[in-house]
Amino acid sequence: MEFNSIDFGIFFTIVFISYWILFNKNIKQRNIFLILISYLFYGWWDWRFLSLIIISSFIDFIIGNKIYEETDKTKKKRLLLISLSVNLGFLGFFKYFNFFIGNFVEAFSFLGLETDSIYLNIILPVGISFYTFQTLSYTIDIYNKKFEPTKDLSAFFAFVSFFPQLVAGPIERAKNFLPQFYELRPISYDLIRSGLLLMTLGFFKKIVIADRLSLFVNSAYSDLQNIDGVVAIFAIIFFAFQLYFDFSAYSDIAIGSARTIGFKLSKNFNSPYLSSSFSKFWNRWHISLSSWFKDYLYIPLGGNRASSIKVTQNILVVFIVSGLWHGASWNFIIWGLINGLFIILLDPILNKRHNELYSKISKAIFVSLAWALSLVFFRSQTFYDAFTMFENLFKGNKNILYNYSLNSIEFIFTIGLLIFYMLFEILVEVYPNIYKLIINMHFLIRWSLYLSIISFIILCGSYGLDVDDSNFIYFQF
Amino acid sequence: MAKKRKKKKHHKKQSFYKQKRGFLTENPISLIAIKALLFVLMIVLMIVYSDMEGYFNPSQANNHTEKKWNSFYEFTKNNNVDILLLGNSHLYTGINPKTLSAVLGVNSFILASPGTHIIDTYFSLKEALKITKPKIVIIETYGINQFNPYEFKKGPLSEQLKSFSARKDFLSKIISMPYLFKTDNYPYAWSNTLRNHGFLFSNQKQLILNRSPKKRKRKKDLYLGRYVRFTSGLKKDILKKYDSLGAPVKGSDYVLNEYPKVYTKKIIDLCKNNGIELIFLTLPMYYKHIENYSTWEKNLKKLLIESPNYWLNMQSPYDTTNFTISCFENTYELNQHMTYNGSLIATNKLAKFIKNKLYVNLPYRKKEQNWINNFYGQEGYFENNPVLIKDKKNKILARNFATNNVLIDEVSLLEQKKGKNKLLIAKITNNGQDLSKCSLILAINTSSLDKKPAVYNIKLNYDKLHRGLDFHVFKIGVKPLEIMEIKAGKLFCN
Repeated sequence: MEFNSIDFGIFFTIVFISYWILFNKNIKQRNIFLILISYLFYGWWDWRFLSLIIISSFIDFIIGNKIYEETDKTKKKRLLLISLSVNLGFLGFFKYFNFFIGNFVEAFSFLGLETDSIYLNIILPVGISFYTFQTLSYTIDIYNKKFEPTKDLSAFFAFVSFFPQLVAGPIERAKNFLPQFYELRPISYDLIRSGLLLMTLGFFKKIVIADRLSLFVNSAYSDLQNIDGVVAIFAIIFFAFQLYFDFSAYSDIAIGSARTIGFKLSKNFNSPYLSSSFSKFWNRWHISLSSWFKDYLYIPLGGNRASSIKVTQNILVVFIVSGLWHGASWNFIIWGLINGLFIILLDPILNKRHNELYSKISKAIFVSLAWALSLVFFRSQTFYDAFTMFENLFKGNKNILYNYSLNSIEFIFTIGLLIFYMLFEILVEVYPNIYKLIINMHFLIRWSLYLSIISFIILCGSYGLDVDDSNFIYFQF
Repeated sequence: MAKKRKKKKHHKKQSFYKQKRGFLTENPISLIAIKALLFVLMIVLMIVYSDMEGYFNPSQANNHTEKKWNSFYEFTKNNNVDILLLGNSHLYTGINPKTLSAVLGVNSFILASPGTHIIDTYFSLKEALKITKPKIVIIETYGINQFNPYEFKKGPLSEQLKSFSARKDFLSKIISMPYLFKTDNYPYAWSNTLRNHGFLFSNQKQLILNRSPKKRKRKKDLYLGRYVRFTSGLKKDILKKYDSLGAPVKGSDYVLNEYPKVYTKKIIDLCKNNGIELIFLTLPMYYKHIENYSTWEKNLKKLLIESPNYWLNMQSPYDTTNFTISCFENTYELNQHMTYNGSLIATNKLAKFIKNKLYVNLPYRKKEQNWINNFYGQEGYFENNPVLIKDKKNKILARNFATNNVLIDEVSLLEQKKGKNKLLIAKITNNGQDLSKCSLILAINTSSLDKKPAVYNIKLNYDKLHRGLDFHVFKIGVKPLEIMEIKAGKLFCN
């Protein structure tokens, strides 16, 4: 079930009402209810893959407890390895099997050895990378004695499958999130209101901005051989914004919908395009994944407390793995590698103290542009496509910019939206209490504002029969 | 005392509000529910208002589906539809309901939408049966194919939405909606504002047009669902393609999934329960346009044979004599429609089939004033019915006129809709003889516009397109002459 679908609208309304009226009286009942609706939410795509979530949850629940009870370090390690093998095994098989087979075959043929390639027709289960990382953090934290396992099966199953963040995060840590399933919270008008507002903001970002940008980007990327320099520049910049608005919209809707039923999810984005360095960017972009990699890969590898060569090596490993997490292709690995190199090579320059406003702005623009260029590998299907896109940057402009799914009015409108939203983010950065200010306004002004935003989404949203693909980008990971 | 009472009243009022406020603050769910409902209501009202004002209405110039349904509701106010035809574009380009009505003396109507499928046909039929009681229902078989309504995108979906929104019965629309659309398309099915909000960026002209107070005046003309799209037939370029590339349509590609099977059965049952005769009709494509049709036919037969209904298949056996290249759209695309000429031939074949094969108690309306009011002078009327004596525009020149070798039932001079020329038409009773290779020569006493009388021999050609059931028709277009009388006549046959 997609957030931007009528199905979800119906589902969410029913869940919200029945949750508060019927199921928020008994913890067990509430958790079972959450499990069932989460499975329904997930099964809407493909019910067969529910078995993976169930198996993964069950194994981690048992192994988590066994690790905690076990005193023998070797046995503890062995149990952790079982958990890692099962979780990463599922992920590896469904996500990376064909990729590795393909690379082996190519490597063998490069050496002059012919092999029979066995490619499987594998469908990637939605959200597998997200919930796998979430459950991994649970067992690893128990192994590292940072967290005590739960004895409550229903709470654990609800934690793994919690529908708002099941398919595209935020990837929650058991330490912060699991305890929320142990208690009943009274209904809070303020929390529900802020949740609904956040969902509205998410829908605005997705429907009005991201899906409109996707029209241009998809159109340009499907005509790579013919696009001109200006089109290529806009396609690259627009994709950077599309990815941000699309993914942050998902996170907003996820966090907002969780809030409406009393759960608090962690923040996943914090105005990343206002970052003045690449390391700051990664502290603001897909925060839950970045921090996951930091805690479970970067620090165990040695983190910053090592020689500069080792630190460089650690950063590159983390970013290459991060690239691979996004998708089983060399393009993603290269994308990860480039971003690692940005931190290693450019951050020392960017981090030199220049606190003037113009310096901050120019650094933010530089970081965002470099990030946008790296995303060419992220967006392109093949290496060849990526290089064609870079090549196109140096072409003249023969064709009309408005031939790529956005006419002149819509194109200018889109640019206006981007400027408006970035100014809004700057405003929020300078005055973080702006949301409170809105909430404290006279109700007539508030309601007029809400109605205007909804009307704007309805009238200016990019949805309908002409929009072929409105899926969230991060669903494919 | 009064002051005290007032104070008490005020106190009561205050405590009521306090209580109420307390109720809402202590029950945030109620407060949220009320606010959410109010908010949703405001949004819905806004959309409904915009829909009612028609701010985002699509251009009506090409919306034949809506025109058809509006005309259907209008026509059925005073008339019962005796023969109802349903299907897709093949049907509304391939059958002429006015001619069919004129031949059989009934009311026939085509309720077909472009690119539609059998599910839409079923629900359209259901709605139509609430309004009218046909004796015969005809289903064109191109809509019986492999499809999934939930996977439709853009083109077919847009047509499907048009067909849905053109229907007016709220309840039947609600019931049919889950079978026709996936849930994400529900809003588009009901609201033009949601469906066409993109006009803000892509079609401002239409928005301005929708807001303009001037509404286009529609000509009040009898519209029975026919749409003439193609007038010229197949040309050399396409004929060459048939020879070099073969047929574009492969009969072996034709397969059926569950949807058509289920809904064909439902249509059969619906007709059976309403005592309606059901005919399945297959209109032809040019014989070189399809190869291996027998596989297609076999699949369709499997489905249709389950019911004791009629199937008029004009694709097989194919009538090579009449369905010539002039009968088909000049295209190598998969969908080949019939031209105006082709549709007349198909219509007459259908009329003949109904009259000869189907023993249904069809009403004979040719003498009903209402029917005459509707059909007099319409397409196919004069080829099958007499000119009225009181008609001032169209003139009877002779009736039951015996010539050397034939008895002519009627010779008349008809006004043409376009231009000044007139149409000289002669009808001879059809006794089963073949006159298709004959021509009729009439000696006519005329006075031209400058009033000089003269006698002319005029050759009238056999009209293959209007080969009606009762008459052989001979025709010729003539200059605007004042015809005084018919002097003589003779039928020449090869």
